[in-house]
Amino acid sequence: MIDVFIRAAATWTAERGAPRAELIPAAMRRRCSLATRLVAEVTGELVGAGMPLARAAIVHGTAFGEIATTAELLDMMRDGDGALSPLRFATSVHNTATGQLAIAQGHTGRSTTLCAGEQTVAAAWLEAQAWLASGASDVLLVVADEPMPAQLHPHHDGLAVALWLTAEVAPGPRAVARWQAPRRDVPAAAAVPAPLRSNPVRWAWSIVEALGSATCVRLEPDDVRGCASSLELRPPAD
Amino acid sequence: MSTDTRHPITALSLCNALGTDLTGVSAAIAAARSGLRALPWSWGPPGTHGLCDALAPLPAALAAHDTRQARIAAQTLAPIQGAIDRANRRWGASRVAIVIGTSTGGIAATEAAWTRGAPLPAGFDVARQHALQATIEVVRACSGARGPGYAISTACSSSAKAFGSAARLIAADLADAVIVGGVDSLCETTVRGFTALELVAPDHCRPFDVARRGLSLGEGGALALVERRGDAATRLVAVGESCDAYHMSAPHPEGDGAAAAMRAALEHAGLEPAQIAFINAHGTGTALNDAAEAKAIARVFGARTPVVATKGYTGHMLGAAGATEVILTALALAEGVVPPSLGCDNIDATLGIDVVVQRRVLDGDYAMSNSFAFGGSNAAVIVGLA
Repeated sequence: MIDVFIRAAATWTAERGAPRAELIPAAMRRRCSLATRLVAEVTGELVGAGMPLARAAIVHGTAFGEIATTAELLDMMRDGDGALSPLRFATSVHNTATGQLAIAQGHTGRSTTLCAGEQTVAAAWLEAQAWLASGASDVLLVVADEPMPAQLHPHHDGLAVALWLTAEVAPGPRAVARWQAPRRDVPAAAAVPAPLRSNPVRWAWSIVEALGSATCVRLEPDDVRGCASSLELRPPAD
Repeated sequence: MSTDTRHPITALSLCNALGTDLTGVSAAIAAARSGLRALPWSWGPPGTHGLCDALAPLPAALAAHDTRQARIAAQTLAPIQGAIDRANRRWGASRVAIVIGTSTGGIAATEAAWTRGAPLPAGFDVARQHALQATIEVVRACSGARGPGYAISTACSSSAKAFGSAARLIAADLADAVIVGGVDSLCETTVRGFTALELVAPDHCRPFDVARRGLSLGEGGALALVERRGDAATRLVAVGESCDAYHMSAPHPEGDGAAAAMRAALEHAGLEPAQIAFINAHGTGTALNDAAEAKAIARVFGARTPVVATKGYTGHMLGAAGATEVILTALALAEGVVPPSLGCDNIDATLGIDVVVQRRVLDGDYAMSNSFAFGGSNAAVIVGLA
């Protein structure tokens, strides 16, 4: 398995207030969902840290995608003649955030959106690692799940995390990561705070937390059945 | 960027409006018989769409996952279970991954449960029924595969892009075999949504026809087993991916993103356009899609490469369309016969491409299948003879 270098990371949680999402022009942003603005917000932080978005492959992970827009559409279907808003329908697909970001930033490169429930972050990591192994120079791994609409359970706070990943050694990585069989001699990462405990992409919060550690840290996704693998982060000088 | 793979496609399965297995689907295509029919619903204006018939119930152990989507997934999987069993034994089940494209997931179950402002009924489970991951869970449970599993969801290119992910997982040594494909189920959201966008044909879809007036919808499953090594009639050669960066629900008018995906696939396969025997187009039958795709094809291939559109057989299966068409492309390549583009009676001469309207015998080693989607997500998949 290859080593993956984490060059920069960004996290958005509710305590940071409404995302500014400045990568998307204001006129367009006003029509964007929270899920889309969260992706733009954390991606914008990495662009500020030097990530070359134009040449980055984008791997977007989300368990429920545009779930608030989906709930709006379901309400519309139950009202009057049941007609839907064409704009809402076109922005209800899971790749809405990356599609909007691509339009706003002129990103014509490859970009994918994947969903794996509680294993969404691990799946996004594998997809990103596979892109790097097949020659991509830079990968933007961005995971986000907005809060669940009131009628759906379980409830959770919104969370978005972006990681700038490369396969080449470059100056100043935050950490070096390897996907491998769990080593029990390596300490496990910290548990996530309570408001995020049912957010499907919470594992990414743990990855970012572990970046500050001066020692090797083991991160096991909650339930990657059959993989028997974990992500091990070590400081760049290790 | 794309991925050059050439991994053998060791098993194939289709389930859609033409039939619930490969034999039924192939027979309908050989007879040039469409699966589209008028459906008695109140979700939109009249049109014809492709609905799966006679889906088998799920095993009792999967009762909590029971949705139309899950039934289509299980039905599509069953005929290739023997091949998957062999792959599980050969590579180890933890080395057999699952990558499935879907756009609808089980939202039809959510529609049935939903009332504005009211709690959802007991028995509705958003994770096991609505969520896209539920399809993966059903395939994992039925197949015995225990490797990484995830859904690709980039609207109508989802299951074409799943082939790219599958190839990369094998190339990166994260898996030795992948159950790859797409599953989507027809639902109120998509019928009403495409109606709102004024993209549904009043009668049936007519891809590349001068009188095309929109798409017909469809549903179904398409699954393949792609392995690191093995005996097969066809191989997955390369997948090219790009993004339009233009509009959420309309293609770039010059087909820029579509052309970029086709070029990327050719480049990474190391092939010249003339080596592609035919193209299975995205070909939805909407005015803008077909015009943009034809421009893109003409730019990359010129006017001579034969182009077929198969959505007149199955309807537009959205998240399952890409994989269905990759498999139909592989079958046509192996047989050396391209079926007629059903619904295209009078080719739109302004498009400048060679649309196949009568069964045509072809000789060639490679073919391409195109898929384009909302959000400007494009994928071109090249399959080749083994």
